[in-house]
Amino acid sequence: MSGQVRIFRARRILTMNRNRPVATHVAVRDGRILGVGDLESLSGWGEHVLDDQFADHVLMPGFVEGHSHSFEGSVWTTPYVGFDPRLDPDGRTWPGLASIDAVVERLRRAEAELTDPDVPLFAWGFDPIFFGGRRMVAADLDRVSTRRPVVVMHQSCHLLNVNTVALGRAGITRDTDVDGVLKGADGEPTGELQEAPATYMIYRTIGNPYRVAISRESLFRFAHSARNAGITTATDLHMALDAATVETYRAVTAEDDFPLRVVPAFSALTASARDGVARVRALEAFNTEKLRFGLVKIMTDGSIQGFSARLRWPGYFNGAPNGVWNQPPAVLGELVDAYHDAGLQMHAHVNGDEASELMLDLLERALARRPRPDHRYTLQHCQMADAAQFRRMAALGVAVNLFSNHIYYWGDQHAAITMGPDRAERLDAASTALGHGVALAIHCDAPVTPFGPLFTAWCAVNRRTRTGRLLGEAERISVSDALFAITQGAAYTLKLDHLVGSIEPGKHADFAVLDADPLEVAPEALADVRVWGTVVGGRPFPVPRPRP
Amino acid sequence: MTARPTPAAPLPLTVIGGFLGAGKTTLLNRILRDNRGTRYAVMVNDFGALDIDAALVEAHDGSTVALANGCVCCSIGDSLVDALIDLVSGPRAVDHVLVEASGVADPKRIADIAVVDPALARNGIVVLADVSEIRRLADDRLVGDAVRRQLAVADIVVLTKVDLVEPGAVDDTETWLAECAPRAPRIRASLGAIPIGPLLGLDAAAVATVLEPAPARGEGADAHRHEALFHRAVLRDLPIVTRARLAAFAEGLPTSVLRAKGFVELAESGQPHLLQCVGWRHSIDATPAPPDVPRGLVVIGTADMPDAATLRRALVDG
Ligand SMILES: [Zn+2]
Repeated sequence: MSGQVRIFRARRILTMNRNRPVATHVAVRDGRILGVGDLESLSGWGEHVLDDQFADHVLMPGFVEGHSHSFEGSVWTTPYVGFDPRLDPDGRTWPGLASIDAVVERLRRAEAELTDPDVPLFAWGFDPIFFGGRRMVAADLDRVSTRRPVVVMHQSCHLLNVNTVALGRAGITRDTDVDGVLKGADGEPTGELQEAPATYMIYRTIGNPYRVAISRESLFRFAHSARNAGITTATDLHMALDAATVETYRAVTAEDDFPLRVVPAFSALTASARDGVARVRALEAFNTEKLRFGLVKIMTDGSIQGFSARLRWPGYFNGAPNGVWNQPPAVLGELVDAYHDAGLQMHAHVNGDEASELMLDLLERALARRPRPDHRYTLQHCQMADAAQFRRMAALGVAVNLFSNHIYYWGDQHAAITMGPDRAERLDAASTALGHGVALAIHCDAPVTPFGPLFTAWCAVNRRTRTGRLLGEAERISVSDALFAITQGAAYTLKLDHLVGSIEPGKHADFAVLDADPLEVAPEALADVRVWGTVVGGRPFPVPRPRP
Repeated sequence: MTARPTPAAPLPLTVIGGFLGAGKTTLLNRILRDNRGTRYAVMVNDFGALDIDAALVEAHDGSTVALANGCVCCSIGDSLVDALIDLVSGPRAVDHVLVEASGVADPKRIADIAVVDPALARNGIVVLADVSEIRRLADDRLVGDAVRRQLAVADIVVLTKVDLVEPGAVDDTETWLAECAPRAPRIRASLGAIPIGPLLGLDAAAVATVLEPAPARGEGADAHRHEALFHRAVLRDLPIVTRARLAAFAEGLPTSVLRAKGFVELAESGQPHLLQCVGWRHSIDATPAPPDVPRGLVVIGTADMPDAATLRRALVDG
């Protein structure tokens, strides 16, 4: 038995299907696309309902975010105190905070809303990069509370600022002699704690609301944040996928109201290869149209701005020592071999160019030993790859998902501190990737940067940093290439391009509903195209519009 | 059998570093098997690699395996910090935490967690080095920096697989190691025969037991307690010294001394304080120990370590 035919009329439909790139109507039945064209051509499907609600909107295929984390749903349990404005899952925009005083003011208001005098106040997203070198100190946060612990997580997630109560609770004093506890000229801890072990006692004595564990609420927040950006399919890269997590995924994605197709990737470093292969294989039996197990994530190095990425010679521009491997290369090689032999798809986190090189070596070895067609192994981030590495990717059939948002958020720091002005030009080299025929996606890594495929496309097209600097003019790509990357490009890296990523018959009726046509606006204004919401499986999910 | 610390006593945490193939898993397997009553919590990346006797397994919940002998193996998973917080805050009673540091991890960052957490006591960084591989690894383009870093922060270096290479080669490697880790004592061990006692030391309660007045034995070495390669000196009835004097003594211990532990009365407070030396690092507790602890030091080292009389002179006369 088949359901009703609904024909959506739109001001314009950008299908991303070369055979019919533009249309005005799309017919949907049973959550899938019946046909695309005009009303006359679609009337051949018989009796239908004409739906005019998008008559003034532009439809695109629902965006596909190939690198994000459900952690996005955890951070929003606490106030956001970042430098840039940010949209929360409920559709409310939190204005950016450009000074420590502004951060303190927002925290004071959040503190006033807490009724239980004993609970700590946590906040996230703090980024003092444009505060003229002024660091936050405990005295700033003592203005928020002298009774309860106040803990502010930086945007990097690795640094904390805490108040005096929190320092006392954690037992951190002038005598605490470990790396990462910043001390002032008077020898007292300033309240800034950089990574473990400095941050350890805060989490141990005060708690950690950000500790990764998914719940129904956090998954919905994750999905709502994605919806607000026009995303209908997103990865949750890097999960241990224990039984409770899997159960939550299955229950929540089965709810009709859940507006997202989720692709959780198994974190290969959390288990032996043998256990991991068995786990992922077993999970594939649970796959549905909205939940897709099977992807395996391999963490290779750290982050460039945290100086933990592995760089080839000549290393970091500021002379910092090289970064760290998550596991010895030989162990990574064993994992690659095992998942390759099992026929599972791997996505590898590689930030620095030495990490990209190692992973290419390991994949090449595995593929030479046992060739495998259409593996779609994907290098994630891959921010420093040069043309030679892209040529190897092309030769091996390896895809790339570049972290284009870095150009805007950290491009200035990369030019000045981490890579230097020359290597920074090739940061997230989308044009070189396309030029060598490497399948390309681009991503945001939410919550590291916000969901926003049109913003990510804007970064790849314009390559402007926060200060407006044009970084790597030759690596700019066209708007249509960028739109392809955030739809079919990303779908390809997930082996979902036969189901999502374009508006064509047979695929899921997943749309991004936009207020303007991204091909009509000026390329510089691409990020300003407003998202009305999404359609997932034929069902509209508008962004809520809370009153300011 | 080692006495168990009281609930309030901090849990010793020892980091076991070293590259793949250096013998970490062999060592951990032996510790789990021959634990002589100490309940070890062993934290590893992949406990599939451990040789856990299935008949010993009491409970297995995915990230933790509890053994019938009281030991527990925990998978570090995504975050060592989270795994340690769970262990320290959890209900499971253990006597000693061993953390396996992968060949590319920085063991100091792990050991420093025990410095900041009053529930833990830093019990040192032991780094295993396969004599036939270590020099090649230290020059490896991809991992050389991590290998050298591990050696540089080690409190004790164990040269493993010494029976698999020519004695001359062991000497060469040891000379080379003396440059990478000049202050760390070095132990030579053949595979499967790594001495556990000197590596992990005694907990505070065991030290107190050793130091209990025992007129029949008196002061001196009692090498019979360990493999003949290792000696132990027990110093009793020590005079009161200043904190600076005690610190200078600890700093001046030769690399033949692996560990020293005991209670010394300080002139400043007039009370006994716990001194712990692991390899080249030492700590003197700021807060005094209970007044009734036996005063004295237990010093463990290789066969060429100073005798008790020499150690006493070093403490008293400087
Ligand atoms: Zn990520």
